[in-house]
Amino acid sequence: MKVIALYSIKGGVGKTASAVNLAYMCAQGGNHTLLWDLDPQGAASFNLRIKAKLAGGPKALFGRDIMRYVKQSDYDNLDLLPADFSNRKLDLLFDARTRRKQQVRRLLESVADRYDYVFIDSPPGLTLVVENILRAADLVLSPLIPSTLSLRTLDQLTEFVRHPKLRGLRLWVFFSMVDVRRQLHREVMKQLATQRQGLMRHFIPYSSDIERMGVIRAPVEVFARRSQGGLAYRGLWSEVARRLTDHG
Amino acid sequence: MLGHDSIALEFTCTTQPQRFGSGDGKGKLLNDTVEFILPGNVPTSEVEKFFTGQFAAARGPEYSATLRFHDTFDWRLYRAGWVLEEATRGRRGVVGCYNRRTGDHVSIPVTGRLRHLHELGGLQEERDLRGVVGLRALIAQAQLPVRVSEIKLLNDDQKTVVHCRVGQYQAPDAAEANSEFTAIRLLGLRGYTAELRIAAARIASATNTTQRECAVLHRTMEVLGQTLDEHAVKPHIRLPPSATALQWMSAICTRLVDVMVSNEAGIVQDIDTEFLHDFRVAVRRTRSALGQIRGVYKTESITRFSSEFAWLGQVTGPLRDLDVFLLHFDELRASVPVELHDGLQGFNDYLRGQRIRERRRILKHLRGERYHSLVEDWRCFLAEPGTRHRGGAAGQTVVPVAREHTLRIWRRVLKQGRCINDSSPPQALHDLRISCKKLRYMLEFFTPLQTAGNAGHLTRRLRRLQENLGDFQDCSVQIETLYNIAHQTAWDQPDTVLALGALIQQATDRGTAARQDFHRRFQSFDTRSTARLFERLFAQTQIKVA
Repeated sequence: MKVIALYSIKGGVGKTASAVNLAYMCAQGGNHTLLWDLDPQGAASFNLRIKAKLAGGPKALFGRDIMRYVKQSDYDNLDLLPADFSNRKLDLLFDARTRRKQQVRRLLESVADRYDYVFIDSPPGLTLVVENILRAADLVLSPLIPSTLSLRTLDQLTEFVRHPKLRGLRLWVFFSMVDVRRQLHREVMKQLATQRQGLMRHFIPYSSDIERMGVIRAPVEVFARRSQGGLAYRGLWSEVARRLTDHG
Repeated sequence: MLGHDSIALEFTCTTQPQRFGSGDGKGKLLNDTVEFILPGNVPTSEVEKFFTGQFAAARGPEYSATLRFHDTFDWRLYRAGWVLEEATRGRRGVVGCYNRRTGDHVSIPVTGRLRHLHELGGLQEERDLRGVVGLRALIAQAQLPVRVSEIKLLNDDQKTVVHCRVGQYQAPDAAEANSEFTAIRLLGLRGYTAELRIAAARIASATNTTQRECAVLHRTMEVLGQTLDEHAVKPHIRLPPSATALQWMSAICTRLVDVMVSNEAGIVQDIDTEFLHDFRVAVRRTRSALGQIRGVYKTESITRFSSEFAWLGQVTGPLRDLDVFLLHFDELRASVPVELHDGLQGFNDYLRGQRIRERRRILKHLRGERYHSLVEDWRCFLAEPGTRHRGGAAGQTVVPVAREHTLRIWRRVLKQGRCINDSSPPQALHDLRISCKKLRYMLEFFTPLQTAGNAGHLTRRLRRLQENLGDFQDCSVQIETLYNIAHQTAWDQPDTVLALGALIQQATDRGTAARQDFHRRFQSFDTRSTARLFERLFAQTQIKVA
């Protein structure tokens, strides 16, 4: 089982849209896929038309088989572990337990033989929940809006994942919400491509189709297969899958 | 309604397997697949009305298909809790694999008709089913044409919470007035058990019917006038202990001849190798019953049958030996050095050629007058054995007769086994193996008369000994056969002879190991506790220990 976290320190950079679309495409490839919505806002759950609610709250996840809370989506091979508004208190819950930074990993161990891939839609910030997610993940996919401030954020994240406890964790960055008409976006992308190794070749454009996901409540490929956004996510997933194969 | 992605039951867009059910089978109030059968042809629009006010219904595609239920000849999958069904339309199909025990259901798209389990695409279910099916082939046990409509039941978020499949069935040659029926199958989604329960309750209250496990399979079998017959090789006798030995013997032998006849078609069509195996086991059991349960029939009355069943065993033996070689060919191949693998191909070709010839010979026998009159005369004899054929024990109640003969063979096993030492000839082990086999058959013939639990313990202990003796015998037979084949055939490649030599060496080593293990195995059978189990086996009277 590979655990892929969609994460950025900044909010509003397209984590949720990317998590939903990439998980969907992964599942379409015949992989048993679980999307875990750990963002208290529950947007990933909403986009899949699943209520952001865990019976008994997130506390109930501990000590029980998390499969009890898993919901089957409308798409082949794709399941969701929904968000809950109380997920905002997860930090406190984790903090009260022993091995407080390994709680997400331990919860995922119980489904390791059921899923090929787990995608985690992470909340923004640098919290205990995020530390948990990074400890559980094999790969962090981090969306980046091509702006000066985002570059600073990327530097912080790069520094953070150098922690010895996160050895082996891969950080792959892709540009998100790109507006190719804007000169700044084009310049930042060009500049970063020469300065940084490991940037994903595919990027996600700013697209009204992706925005419509929240209205139609489905992955973009379902309702706009040939749209710019749909094709961009398809390309990004192909690149991620290929890189994962190459890196074993 | 927006363009939802495919669901696995739809032929139009299915590409991936899809699982229904929670996948854990724990703590569920209701199975994740629920089936209802309604008489006649119920339109899909009527079915939609059952859910009005609770769920919105989104109609999926409609299509005509052929529904087939696949299982082994002897319904192994069903008995192990599985139902394997296939709906095909043209070259496209969906295989539904349903676990009756956990309630989980997986739908797997396939191209063309399902013939082999590997077409299930390496899923866990394939491995599970393979373990159950063993060497048996899958056959279409029942099939019906069906008109299918798919309905998705949606909640307030327009999320699918239950898949509903409406199937309208009718037997092709509908002689029976009630052959038309509608099956409603609800497939639950993980995390939506409550919705499944509500949908099932809606159907139950609207139609005044109750859900039934595997309802479609059972109704299909009814409509086709077929039964879920378990062609068990072991005879299950349902007679009271007060029955006479004659009644019991007749029931055993009738059951065995039924098994033989029921396997004929499978041998002729060459569906799998196990039809011949089961046929031969039934022949062997019949011979054993005739030879061991003495005094029920007069010896002169059954002499002809005994020799004819011996003939039947003899003529079917070579094909079985070839089947065993071919079934284990991959293991044999793996046991010799890689350099000799090519050489083994010649041996494989030889075995296949011989198998074709042997099959022809057996088919000739099975279609011949000698076999048919044996079966016919034997059935007549069993149905009404004239007074002149009845032996002295015929009128006795079965229990003392069963006890006498079972214990007699047990004592023989002990005597033969205790005489075997390191210098005993292989024939001594062979004779003991035959006696063990006879003892096993006796235990099986009279199981209903035995103390519950004892028979099982004894069978397990005996089986461990039989495995050792069987291994030794297999190796001896293999060595002799390989030696003869190596000498009697002109091989194109010298490597083939070398490979046969390597196989002989392997068989010799295995035989030696089995022989060395014999005493340990026999000693763990020849114990005071085994004796006690035999003593109490029929629990009628105490008997003297051997």
